[in-house]
Amino acid sequence: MWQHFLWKHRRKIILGVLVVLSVSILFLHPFFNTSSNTIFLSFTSPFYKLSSKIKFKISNSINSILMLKNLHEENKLLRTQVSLLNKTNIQYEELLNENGRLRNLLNFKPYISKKQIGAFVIGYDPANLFKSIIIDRGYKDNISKNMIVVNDKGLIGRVLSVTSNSAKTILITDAESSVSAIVQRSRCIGSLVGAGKNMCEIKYLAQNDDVQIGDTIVSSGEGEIFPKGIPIGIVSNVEKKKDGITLKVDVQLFADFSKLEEVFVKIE
Amino acid sequence: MLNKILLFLWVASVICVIVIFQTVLQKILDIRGIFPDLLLVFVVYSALNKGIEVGMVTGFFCGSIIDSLSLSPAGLNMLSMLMLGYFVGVLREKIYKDKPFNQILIVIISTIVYGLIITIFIKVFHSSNRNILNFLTIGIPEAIYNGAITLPVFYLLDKILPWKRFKPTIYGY
Repeated sequence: MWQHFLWKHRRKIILGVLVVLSVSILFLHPFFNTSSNTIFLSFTSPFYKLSSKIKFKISNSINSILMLKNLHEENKLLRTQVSLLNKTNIQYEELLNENGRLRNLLNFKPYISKKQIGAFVIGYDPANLFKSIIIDRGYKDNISKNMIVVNDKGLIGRVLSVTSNSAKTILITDAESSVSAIVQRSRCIGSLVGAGKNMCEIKYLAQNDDVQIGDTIVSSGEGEIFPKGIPIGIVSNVEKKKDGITLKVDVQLFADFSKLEEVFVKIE
Repeated sequence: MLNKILLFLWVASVICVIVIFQTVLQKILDIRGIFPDLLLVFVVYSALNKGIEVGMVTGFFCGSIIDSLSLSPAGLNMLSMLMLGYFVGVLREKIYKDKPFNQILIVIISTIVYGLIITIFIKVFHSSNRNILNFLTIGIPEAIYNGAITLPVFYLLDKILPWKRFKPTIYGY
């Protein structure tokens, strides 16, 4: 009798149970978002590490074979570049020391920390609408929530959740991300939000603010998360909005978000 | 019983491979910042080939995987994928004729509906910066991309999954 009833209504029962389960998780999402994310991430991160290692090895081998032809010329070019960079680096260190001394004299706090840890990107967000990455460093490496993530080009994002050996990072290209940014030339401050597809947009800039195409955008240091002076990108388009008050400013980011492989997490 | 367990393990490992493709190797399939949603295509495939129950359960599990790895609120993808599995399963029994064009069309429509559900829910309940423009610039190209890979993916899944195709008229009755 019961078996017949269950078999007859199996679809409704399965649908009902699963709908109730997902709706309850959805309503309890602050708890589930943190716990399920961390549990699942800590369980899956070894697989991600393994697959990304295999991916790196395969792509490196293919690249080496392809690049063998131009290796000699490239080597020459790189040697020249290294000697040039060495000179620039010495000058930079001099300037950095001088800057430090002057900051001490003026009693300013240093805004760029030197303590950072390298990390590999081992996974990307499985949904197109969201922009996040998973890195191979966790709280075992002193990573904690809201630490900022950069690469050699500029700002990447901030750490959102951490497991023992991996961390999920929200990218600045995600629509939920918001960074206080400043136009380096004119010192106008706005809020940089993600516009998807490796682009960002600066909000809340007034129409009389001085912003031009080609202006460099850096983090302003306002707020508690992002320190001042981290390069973000360059203004690629400026338009007056129809509201007659604000500007629409598009920013082409320095970092190439389509090729993120190694990043740095700022520990301090 | 043993066969069923083996089949379950086989399907689970196929899902694992798809998840790895979508998270670790997605840049291989990336075209101008858009990559195909292989898990969604898999849910549609399961619902079309095995009907409502399998569609729902596959959708629920694939959705829970996306929820755990993505920035979206927990439960949202679970619910959306579950409903997707259900409705595609219903569609299979009502109008599906096993034609390649229908398969592509169902995948495209499913991607658009799924993207719309996610965007609207997040906009309404999380007062997010995400808007319909985000959906149009990301969701529509994704739907076209998913449509373009439907036939090769379905062909591949037909080859690697030991699920036998069945006629809609005899299924479940």
